[in-house]
Amino acid sequence: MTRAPIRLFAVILAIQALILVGMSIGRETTLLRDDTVTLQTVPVDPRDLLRGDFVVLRYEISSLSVSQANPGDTVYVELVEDSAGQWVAAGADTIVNPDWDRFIRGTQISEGNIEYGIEAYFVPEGRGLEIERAQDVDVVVALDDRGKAVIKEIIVDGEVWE
Amino acid sequence: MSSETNESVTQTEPDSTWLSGRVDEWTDRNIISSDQAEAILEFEHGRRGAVDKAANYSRLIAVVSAFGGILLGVGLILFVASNWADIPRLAKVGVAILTVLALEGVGFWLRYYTDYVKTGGTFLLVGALAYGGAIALVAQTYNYPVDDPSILFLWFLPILPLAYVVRSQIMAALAIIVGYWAIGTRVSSSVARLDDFSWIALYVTIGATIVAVGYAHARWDDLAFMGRPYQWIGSTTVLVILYVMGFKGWWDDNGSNLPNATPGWLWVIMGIGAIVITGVVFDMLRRRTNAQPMAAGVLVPAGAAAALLLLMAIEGPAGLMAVLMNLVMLGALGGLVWVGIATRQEALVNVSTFVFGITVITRYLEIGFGMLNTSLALMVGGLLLIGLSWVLERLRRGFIAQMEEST
Repeated sequence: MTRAPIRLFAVILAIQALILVGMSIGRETTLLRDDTVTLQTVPVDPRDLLRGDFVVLRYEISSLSVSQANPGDTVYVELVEDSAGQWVAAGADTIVNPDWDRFIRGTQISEGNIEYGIEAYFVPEGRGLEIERAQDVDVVVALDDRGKAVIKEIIVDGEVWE
Repeated sequence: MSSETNESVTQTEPDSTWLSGRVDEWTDRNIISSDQAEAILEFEHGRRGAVDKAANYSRLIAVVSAFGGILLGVGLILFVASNWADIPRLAKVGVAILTVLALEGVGFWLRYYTDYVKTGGTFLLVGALAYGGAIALVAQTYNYPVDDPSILFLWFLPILPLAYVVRSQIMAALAIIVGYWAIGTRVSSSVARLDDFSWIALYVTIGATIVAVGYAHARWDDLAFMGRPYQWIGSTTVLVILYVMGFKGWWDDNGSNLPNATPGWLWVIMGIGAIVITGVVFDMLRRRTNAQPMAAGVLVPAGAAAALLLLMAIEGPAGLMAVLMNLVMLGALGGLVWVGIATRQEALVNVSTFVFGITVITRYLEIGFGMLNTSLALMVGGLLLIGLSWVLERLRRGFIAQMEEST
């Protein structure tokens, strides 16, 4: 019988577990923070081969022009709360302005088109249409100190969607 | 239990041609009588038949359990894709980790501490697939961006070394395919969109380079057999691209845009590929006697890839380009058949013959239906298929016989 490479095998198993934990911990830390903003969105409903149904979320702050930013550049958008409790863009730059209270980090995809890594929300199979057909969809997003955003929950017609 | 035993018997079984030769010589020298010679051959042939049956049965077990593993793994991934709505986030991550550790742990135990070697291999493969499912589950749970290439890289990175640790060719093949997928996702998610020339250049370069990486494994006796998945997948990549580009329609649709703007990083990748290929060939020729067939195994796909890129760069009328691509492909197929015979890789011979057959059929469908009316084209096509299958089978058997004679 071949000699068992038990140590190498254990190391790779540990690496796999660490990768899965690492993917989770970074996001979980952001989600535990109190810094959240609510963003207005318009969803559509596609499907991912590996991960199932999801809704694509397009935000008002996705369509912004940032002077001096080229496609692929990181951009920062200042967020302020309006009278309706929604958070809207108040300014944008390629660096963080120290005067900003809340800001979100994104990537300029093309002129006037920014992505924040919160453009997909995964839903149970077949339930994407519930969100797509709703009148009003808001997304509550948690932000870390560097402006990285993670979706915390989705609010459909005034109710937290589960 | 039986599988491992049968493998060892098959490997030590003397070749029947060799035995016949020895028995003839013993008879000629009057060491044994002709009756005894006949009895020895009859006994050995009977025994060999039983061993062959057992070996075939063992292969069947391997194929069946591999298919079972793939089905189970795909099922796990699809189960994950259907989304668990009511489980807390951290519990999902915990379940995912435990599932992967359990599957791989059981597989390792079966593989190394029991006689169920093949079943253990299947569990390990399912574990590697389930690990991909687990990554997808965590990404889904935390709404990672859909086109995030890091997800596929995180799948690829640990399963490639795991394949080496547990010496699994099929897991290495899985890792290579996930790696291909990860590179494609990374490139397509980048802001600067690639033109068709650049996509083709990227994948033929990767294909030809991993063939070289596969042959480089022969440097180490222990690792030699792990090189096969690289050789087969790399060669197949180059052949598939040549096959697609052998259609005139492809050139009608895309020819006018080639090449457009090849990014600098792609030139770097092509340069690295060229260095790796050259290095592997030189190393092989320097270190080994009779290394020419292996060197040809590296150079045939690399040469085909280089010819393809050169032809794309100079570009001509669509019909001419399609013909040239087919000629490059024919050259590559001929070269690979020769390499397959010389290096005793039956799979390479079979794949090359199969691709040749598919190419002839599709070229007939592409050209014949335009020239003949439908019913006549179908009849001629049917006759062509029957004739072609007969010719290909004879060719294939001839190649395999040549291989057996050379051993």
